Amino acid sequence: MAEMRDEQSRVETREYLTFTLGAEEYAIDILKVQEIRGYDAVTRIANTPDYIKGVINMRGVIVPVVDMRLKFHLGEATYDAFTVMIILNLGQRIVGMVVDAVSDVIALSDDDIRPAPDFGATFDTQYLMGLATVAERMAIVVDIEKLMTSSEMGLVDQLSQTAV
Amino acid sequence: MSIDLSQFHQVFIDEAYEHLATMESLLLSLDLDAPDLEELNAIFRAAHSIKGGSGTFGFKDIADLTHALETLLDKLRRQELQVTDEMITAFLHCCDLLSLMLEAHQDGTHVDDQAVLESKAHLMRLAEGSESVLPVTVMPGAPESTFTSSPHLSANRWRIHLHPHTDLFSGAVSEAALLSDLAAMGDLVLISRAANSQRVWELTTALNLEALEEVFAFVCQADEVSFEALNETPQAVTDEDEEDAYGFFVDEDSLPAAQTIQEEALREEAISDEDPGFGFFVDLESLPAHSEPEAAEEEGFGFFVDPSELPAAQDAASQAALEAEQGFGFFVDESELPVHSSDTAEMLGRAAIATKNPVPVAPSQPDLKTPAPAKNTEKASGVKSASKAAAAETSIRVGIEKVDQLINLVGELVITRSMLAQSASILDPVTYEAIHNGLANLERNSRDLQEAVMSIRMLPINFVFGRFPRVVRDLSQKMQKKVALKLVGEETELDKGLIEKLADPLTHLLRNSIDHGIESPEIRSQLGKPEEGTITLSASHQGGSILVEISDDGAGLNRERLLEKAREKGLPISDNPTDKEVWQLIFAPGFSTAKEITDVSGRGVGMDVVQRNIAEMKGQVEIDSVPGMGTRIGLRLPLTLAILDGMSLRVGEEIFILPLTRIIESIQPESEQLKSVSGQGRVVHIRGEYVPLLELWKLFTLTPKFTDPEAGILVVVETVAGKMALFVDELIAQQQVVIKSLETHYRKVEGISGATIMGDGRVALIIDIDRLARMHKSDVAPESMSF
Repeated sequence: MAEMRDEQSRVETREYLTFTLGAEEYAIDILKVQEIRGYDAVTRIANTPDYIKGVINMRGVIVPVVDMRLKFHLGEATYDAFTVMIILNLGQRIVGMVVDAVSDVIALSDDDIRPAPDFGATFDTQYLMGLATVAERMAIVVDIEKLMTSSEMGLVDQLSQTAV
Repeated sequence: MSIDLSQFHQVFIDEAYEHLATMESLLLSLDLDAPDLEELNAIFRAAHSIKGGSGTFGFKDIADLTHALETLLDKLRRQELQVTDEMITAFLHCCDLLSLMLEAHQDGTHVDDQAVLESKAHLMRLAEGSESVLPVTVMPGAPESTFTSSPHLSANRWRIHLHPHTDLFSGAVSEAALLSDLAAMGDLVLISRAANSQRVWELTTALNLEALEEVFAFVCQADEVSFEALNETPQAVTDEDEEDAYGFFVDEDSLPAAQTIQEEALREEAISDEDPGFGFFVDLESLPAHSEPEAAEEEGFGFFVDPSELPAAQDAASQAALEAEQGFGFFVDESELPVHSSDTAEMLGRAAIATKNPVPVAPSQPDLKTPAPAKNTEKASGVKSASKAAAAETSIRVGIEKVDQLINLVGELVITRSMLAQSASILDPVTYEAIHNGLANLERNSRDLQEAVMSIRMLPINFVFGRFPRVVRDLSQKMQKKVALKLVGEETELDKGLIEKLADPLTHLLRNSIDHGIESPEIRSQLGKPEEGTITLSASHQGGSILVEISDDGAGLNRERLLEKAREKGLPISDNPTDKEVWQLIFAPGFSTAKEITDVSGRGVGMDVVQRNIAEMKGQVEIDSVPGMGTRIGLRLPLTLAILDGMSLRVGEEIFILPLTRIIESIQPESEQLKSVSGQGRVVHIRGEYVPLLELWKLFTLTPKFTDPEAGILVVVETVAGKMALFVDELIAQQQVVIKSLETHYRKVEGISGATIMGDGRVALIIDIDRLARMHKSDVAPESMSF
């Protein structure tokens, strides 16, 4: 019995959503994704960094939108009918994230994710869960919740950050 | 019976707070010279409910203290003792302690034992004050005491009849546990034992009926068990025909026997709140007397008919009673529940039984007055508890977040509707008449729906006013002044969020009135005023806002002293200030004219806090004062925090909302009105006044349509830093907007108080004009605010 359970947990996989920013492919836990929608009607907020595009109305809830392409200087920040936004649900908070494209949903087991080398990537390594290889491509697995609630993103009041 | 009781703790604590509030308001309204027996009973019931609950949940400290409280109250309601002011004070003190203890249980902290013991001892002392006078035998004319005085009698023999509707002991209830409980109370003898858990015991105990009922309260319904006193007590309470002590009573002066029974049933109800309390009371003036009404009933039914009820209701009612085989409570209150059919009766009855808890008093009616022209207190009791019970059945407790969610969803609906209307507006009205009609209907319905949902958040202002009689009483005693508080318009409804925020400022103002406003009785009589000062607290709707006023007939503000103090403090004042300007001085931080600092007021930290609190609620403070006649302070508040009357305006591509209450005027300036002050930006010259110019596009780094103020429009607004002229591209419309928080998913934004959703689904930001003015004043460069 115990062996069987071992067997099962070993092959237990989790699903990840992958998206591209420039030439790089990223993967985030799909359970943190609420929905994917087009980019529209963003209300600008004054005196914020350029990657904070503003706020949108998500069915009566005011949600901030971050353009990851601007934040990490990857790809080209154009806005058209094909621009997509991943709406993330991070516990108490909802955040919209603009990316180049959403590519796939992949299943990864913990073993598939290899520790990331300390190479001073675009993302600080503290937000990286590791690297995974999917069909010959490399995906960077990101701890999106940690990243979005970090002071680096400036999405959260510093005082309330501990509460998140 | 190993149920985890802790899950019910919160319910108990909530209820206990309600009971405490009821007790407090009743205590304060009690007339010392002629205490209303019914009010005393109500206070007793509240205390008893707390005691019962705390005992059950193992809050022994609370149970002990309430027991002492109850002992004294019991004597009062049996009229063995006269109510004194000292007692009221002791009761109030005890209420405070109890609420502290409840808090402590909630937080897991501890209450000062000494204070509890002292309060308990004090209550005991008061209760024993006339212990010697206490007759061992029952006083004539006070049938209420037959049962309850039993603790003082040596021992009572009770015959207990248990006749459950179901086979009790085969289910959840352990007979052994019940027996051991009973045995612990005294000598228990089993008299008979039948199937279906029917039992008859005889119990000899020093405890009273109440204690017995408590034991059974957790075993079965109150109507499934009956108690028969076997003592040689003067009143044979339990008549064989009336073995359940309930029935259909006709109250008529010519039927004294029936009256006794009725009183008795009512007393029983008063003792035991667990008991859904049934009896069928019909007032007689309106009805033909029933000859043998008891026959209609087998077990306890509650049926109260308000005297003013139509006789027609009685038919349905008695039918309901006849149909009912089990204990149904049927409470009729003219204002609440018109009787339609016996079905209603049955449903209500079931509901009443389902709630075995003490019937919580509806919070909105803490000092419910019986609307019925009560001929005697017994009848009043019936009607009163009936309407209370009815109110309890018709209100539910809902989490505020559920209501907010509902408001959000309705807001969405409204937006979706306006988007639909926009798309449909291009359709030909003749060909697509049906669509246009449908949309018009939708608009009407969704507006009604929105109003209805918003009204859920509305509560009567009594929630905050209710605490003030106590505050006034305590303070006036402390200050040795005589003050009467008059409350007006307590039913005025306003947003729950506002009500909570109103408590502090109102307390400050009330304290000020008592401390500075109302003179001492000696001075008042010298001035030819009545010794007792009056403070009136009123609330009313005025247009789209609520006006809360505190007025006193005291000394009024002293213009000279205010000016003198202002000069002393170096506050800027003009040479010949108007009264209004002088009164405004009291809002300056640290300003106090009190000659000496008392622990009530005089530290100068009151009025500026009041003004800040009110400003946070988007309200305004008005002062009127006449020396020697008194002071009136008015607080003007919006109806709700969730909706704002705003003006939408455009700068470049963006739309902003400006609170309408802050707008003074809007102008298109001429070039000669614009002046620049070196290093200070520009000012606008408006009718002899120089008003600083705030360029919204610069503050918010936008790309505007116009950069020249002459081309756009200036909105003159009132801010904490004085008047400001806000330069925008254009004004769009005046509209009501639903305020949404930016901080829920984002963070605070400088100069923005919130956001709203416009008809097209876009988000518009609401300008925090005070913050904006401060940004301008302190000359914070926009770049440095970005993080």
